[in-house]
Amino acid sequence: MNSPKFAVVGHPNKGKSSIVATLSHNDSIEISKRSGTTQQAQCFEIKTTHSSYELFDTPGFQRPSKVLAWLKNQAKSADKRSQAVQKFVDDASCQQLFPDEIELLKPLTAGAAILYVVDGSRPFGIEYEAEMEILQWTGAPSMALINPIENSQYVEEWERVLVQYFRTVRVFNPMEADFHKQMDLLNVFAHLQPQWAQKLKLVTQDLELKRLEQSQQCSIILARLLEDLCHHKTTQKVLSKAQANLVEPLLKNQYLKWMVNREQKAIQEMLTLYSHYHTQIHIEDMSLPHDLFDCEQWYLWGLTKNQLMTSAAITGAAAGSAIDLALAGSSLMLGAVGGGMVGLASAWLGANKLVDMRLQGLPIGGYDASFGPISHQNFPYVVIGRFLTLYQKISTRNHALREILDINPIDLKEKINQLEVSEQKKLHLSCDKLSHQKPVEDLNKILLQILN
Amino acid sequence: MNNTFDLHPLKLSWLIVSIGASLGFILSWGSLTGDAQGRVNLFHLLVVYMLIPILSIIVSLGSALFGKGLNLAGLLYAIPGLQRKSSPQWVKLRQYHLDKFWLLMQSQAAALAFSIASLLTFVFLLLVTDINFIWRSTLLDATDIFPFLQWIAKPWYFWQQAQPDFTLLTQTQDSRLLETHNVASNLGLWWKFILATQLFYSLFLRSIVFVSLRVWIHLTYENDFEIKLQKRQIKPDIREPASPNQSIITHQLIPPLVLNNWGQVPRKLISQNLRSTQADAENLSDEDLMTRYFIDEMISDPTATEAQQYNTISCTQKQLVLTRAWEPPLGELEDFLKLGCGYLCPMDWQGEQLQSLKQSDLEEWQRLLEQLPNWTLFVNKEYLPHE
Repeated sequence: MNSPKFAVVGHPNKGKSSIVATLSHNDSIEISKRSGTTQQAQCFEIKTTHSSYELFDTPGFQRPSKVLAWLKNQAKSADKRSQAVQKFVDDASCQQLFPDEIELLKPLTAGAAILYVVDGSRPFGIEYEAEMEILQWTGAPSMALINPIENSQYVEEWERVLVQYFRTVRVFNPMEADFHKQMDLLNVFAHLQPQWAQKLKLVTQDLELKRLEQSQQCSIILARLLEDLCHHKTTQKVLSKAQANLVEPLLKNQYLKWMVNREQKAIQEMLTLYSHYHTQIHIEDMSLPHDLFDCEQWYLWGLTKNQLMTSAAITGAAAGSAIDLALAGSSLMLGAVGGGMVGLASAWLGANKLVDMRLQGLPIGGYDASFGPISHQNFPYVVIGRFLTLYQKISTRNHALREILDINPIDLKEKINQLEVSEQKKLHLSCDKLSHQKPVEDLNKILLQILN
Repeated sequence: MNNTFDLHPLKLSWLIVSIGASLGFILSWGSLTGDAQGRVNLFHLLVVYMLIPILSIIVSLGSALFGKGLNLAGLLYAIPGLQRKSSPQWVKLRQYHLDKFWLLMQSQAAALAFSIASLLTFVFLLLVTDINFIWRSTLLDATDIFPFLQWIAKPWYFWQQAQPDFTLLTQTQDSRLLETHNVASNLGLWWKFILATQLFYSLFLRSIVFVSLRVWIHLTYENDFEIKLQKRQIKPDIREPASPNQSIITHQLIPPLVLNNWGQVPRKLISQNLRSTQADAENLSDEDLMTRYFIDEMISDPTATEAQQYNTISCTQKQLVLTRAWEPPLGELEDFLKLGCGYLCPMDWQGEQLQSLKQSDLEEWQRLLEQLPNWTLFVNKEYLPHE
């Protein structure tokens, strides 16, 4: 069975492209205040896991009265009307004279249903009648959408007119309609053509599942962001403390840049997840503490003192074991025990000397200048609060919108208070672990509660 | 300067690999040097080159698939002083659910290094010393062992010289008390069998596991939804509408004109719009005002009859065409305008009150008239957009 098809038609500049962008979740569709932006019918296939449907964005009517006059000349009785429309679409001279109407009617003659769009903030005009009459002539299943572009002042007036021509009339604002309203509209589409009902039902089910999946994926993006930001540090090996102090500003700069970029990366991922490829966001940078500089000694191969001692003990024990092996166990494993202890003691006592030693001119110890990580216990909450605000804005943003998204982080405390006590505890415990750079099991599941 | 979190899941830890290679070298050297006469127990070699590799593969894979993962790298990472599980790299591996399999891959790399080191040690010792392969058993004799050796050698059935030989097996049985070797030169003939055992059980099987793990890790990483999202981030091209030229606007009408109410503007609003353009219009009635401007009136909108349309088309006088500002100019209007000349006046109103035009609406009309040189856009100054 063919996919359900819907052609969005109407007067120019009444929000046809906006409706297609919102329903197809596609923000690359050109939407302009200028009329005549859409010059050719464009098909957008909305594919879901188990089903699909097609939406056609079409040019607006330009010469409806003349087209209607042409059609009336061709068909003198009602049974000839749809044939006259087909003839109009196929006629070479009509293609020259009425290119917009040809583009508009093509999908309808190919089996698409009609979604006729009008502006509910402006009054009905008699010139619309010709358009509606032409659409009636096609015999295609039809529905009218009143788009209250600026306000709803003339919605009732339009309803009175439209019910005379269309089976179903709905008010739908593509800029504001939330996900549920979009799903409701798809359910109404299903009634236009009974054989499409099953396919469209599958589409709505798939889209609802996808919505849930997107929330889960957002919780993973947030969990990874939190872990990365809480664990991140920038390091540089240097030979002396004086050198370490010199590189501090560089480390700080690089650290801050990385943190900002990492958050941007998560935002971009979330935008991509919701198919907002062109949305621009304005959000103030995170305020980060500036006292995160540290300087530690390092030894052979960049080991810390603890690592050096462990390595030395293992190496000593291994060498001792080899002696035990050679003596066929008669040493009662004293070689392994003794070797381990000698290794440990020599590392502990000699570690500091390694810092100043050189092997063929190369230093075998030095200092590790580092900036970060942030251990402030509030930091994870700040990150969550910012992400949550973005999530709420992005996940509910319609694809017809083009303006820059301005973000003011919300108060997270209120949102946390809405959680169950056990969930709150889990969240606080997780944030505490994160601020101490400790791993948190199932962090994304804990965060999902907040996103929901 | 090092920034953390640059994840390369296929990067090998050379420390772990070198531990594997060292173990391979030490164990092979220890097993192959044998006793003072250079005698090496065949069974010991089978333990090192076949039993240990196979068992370790089973244990590592089994524990990775069904448990937390028991392998060399895992054990090293579990040592308290050496552990790096709070390191950003490790955090990243955990985020992608690759931690367990990354350790397994490192262990397989270490095992491969073990095999290669063993092989090189074996070849080196074959070159520089005499290795006498013998076997000893208290309970088993050659007839018991031979089928087992044949079973081991099945994978390289095509390499006849590396297959076990029953006569050789009988001849190489050793006893520490009895002198059993008839032909001492036969004792070295097992080397091909041992080499094949190493190549297959130690090197080949391990290579398969190692390569499979690398492929699996690569695919898991590439199929992670976050990586896929990053690939999707390449922005599709968007058509930018070219900014069109716009016609100039006049605020004065020069009569006489023919009124053409294309947009069915209420009559009261027409005079209201004209009144403020005339300095002395305050004292004029609506009708007088209209008479001052218009010598005639015609209907030509799409609802007009054919006769009415014919009249307007044949009109040679300058016209004032009134339109609804918010309705974009249709082709029908453009077709009509091409046949005449005069002024076009878009008007916007709410109820019975005229209101300012919207900037975007005005630009629509400016754009239209830019292409029609016989027409001038007229907008009363009072109703210019405020934006």
